[in-house]
Amino acid sequence: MEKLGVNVSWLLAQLINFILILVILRLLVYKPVLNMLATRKQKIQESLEYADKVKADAALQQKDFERKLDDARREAQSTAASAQVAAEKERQRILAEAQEEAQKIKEAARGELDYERKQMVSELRQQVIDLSLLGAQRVIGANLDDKKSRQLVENFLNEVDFGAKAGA
Amino acid sequence: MLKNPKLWIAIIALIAVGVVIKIFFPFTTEAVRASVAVAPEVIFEIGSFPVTPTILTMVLVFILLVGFAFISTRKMEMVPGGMQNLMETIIEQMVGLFESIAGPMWAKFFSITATIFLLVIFSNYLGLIPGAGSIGFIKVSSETHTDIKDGQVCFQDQETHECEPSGIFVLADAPAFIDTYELYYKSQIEKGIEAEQHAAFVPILRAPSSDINMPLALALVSVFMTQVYGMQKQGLKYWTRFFSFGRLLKGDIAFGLIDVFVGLVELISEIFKIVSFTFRLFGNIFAGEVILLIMAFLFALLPLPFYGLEFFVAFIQAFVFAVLTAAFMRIATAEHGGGGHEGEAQH
Repeated sequence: MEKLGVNVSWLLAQLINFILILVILRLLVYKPVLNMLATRKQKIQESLEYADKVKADAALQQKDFERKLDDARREAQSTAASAQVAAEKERQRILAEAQEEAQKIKEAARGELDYERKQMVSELRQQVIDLSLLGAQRVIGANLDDKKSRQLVENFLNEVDFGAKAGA
Repeated sequence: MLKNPKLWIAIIALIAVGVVIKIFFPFTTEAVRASVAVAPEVIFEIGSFPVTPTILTMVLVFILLVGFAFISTRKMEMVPGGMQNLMETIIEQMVGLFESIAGPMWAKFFSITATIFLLVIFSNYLGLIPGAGSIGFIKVSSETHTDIKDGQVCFQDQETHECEPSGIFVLADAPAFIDTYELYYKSQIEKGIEAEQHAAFVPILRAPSSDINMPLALALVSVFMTQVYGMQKQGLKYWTRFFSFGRLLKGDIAFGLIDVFVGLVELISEIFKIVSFTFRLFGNIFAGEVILLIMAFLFALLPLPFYGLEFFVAFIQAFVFAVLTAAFMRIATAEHGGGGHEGEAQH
């Protein structure tokens, strides 16, 4: 032991030195640094959690926003479609009305024409009767202006059916 | 690497320097004998306390460690920088290491294991600083030698009896040391005194771990605290690990004797942990010192690879000491009664 240099005073000095360093390092380094490491770890954990939360929130908001946008788009689309349908209906209505009106006008015009023609035909008939009677008077030289001769011409005309050829 | 001409030039130049030194200063390894001492030499005494190079270096280690601790943790900030960052990295690495070895109990052992690691690694590396172990002076034991002053050799003038201070301090860079030592040796021979035995080269700084007291102190702390933690965890039952008379007292002679024997082996191995701890660290560092010294005396280039090796050994020894301490502490706190009833029930 002596040859190896084992010596109680040196050994004690080394022991005291070790204990002193241990105590100083424990106070100065181990406790504060380990605390610091733990706090930092916790803080990073919290930060990460917070970031995750924010990310999730943002995603949620994004989804919400997209949904709203979709809704608006769909609504606009449906509004436009319904407007188109209404416009088409209106067009049809207007068209139908116009056609009806035109038909009416046409019919009215035809009625008037008929009436006028009938009028003309009856007038023509009167004149034909008058002329034929006049002609006959000249031929026979007598006054045929009585009811009987007039009836005769009338009947003749009816037989010829003058009106039938010109339309009723 | 081999194609690098600069490297070749450097190697050739170093070899040339080595050869030149060898030719002009043909020193022998004989001188190493004077400079290698297992027991550290005393430089001076404070009161009755002898101060050795290893003690001096230990004080330096203390100053460096505490200074580093103080500077690195003076202003603790959430976002670390500089020294704080370095210290936190070291602590974090150690936490990872000891957690992997000691498991969930690591925090309990951390102060001891981390301090052992830091102390040993600082001690080992201080011993590797160029100049440590090689700058010092010659000292002669005062009992047999009369021509000494203040415990140091005097290459004195025989007539005037005055010491020449230039002869006292020796730079242990090889040639100067050899010259001085041979001078001294010759003068002693002339006087009919066998000088070698009493002369010693005393370096100013020397790795504290190459002084057996330092590893021994750490080993004592390590083993003692292992018992303390074991007792804290298991109470008095911890001691059944070494003294298990339980089954013998119950009348089970055969197994009881086995238990007692196992406990005895455990006890011896526990005591020898002190020895193995001590000599593992001491042996490695001391041998490293001697190797570096001998290589330096053999040839100028030789210490280089060994220096690299010692650099590695210095770390490994610190690592091993701390890791083994953590492992033993874990075993002591985890063991179930050491061959007692719980151990029996488990099988």
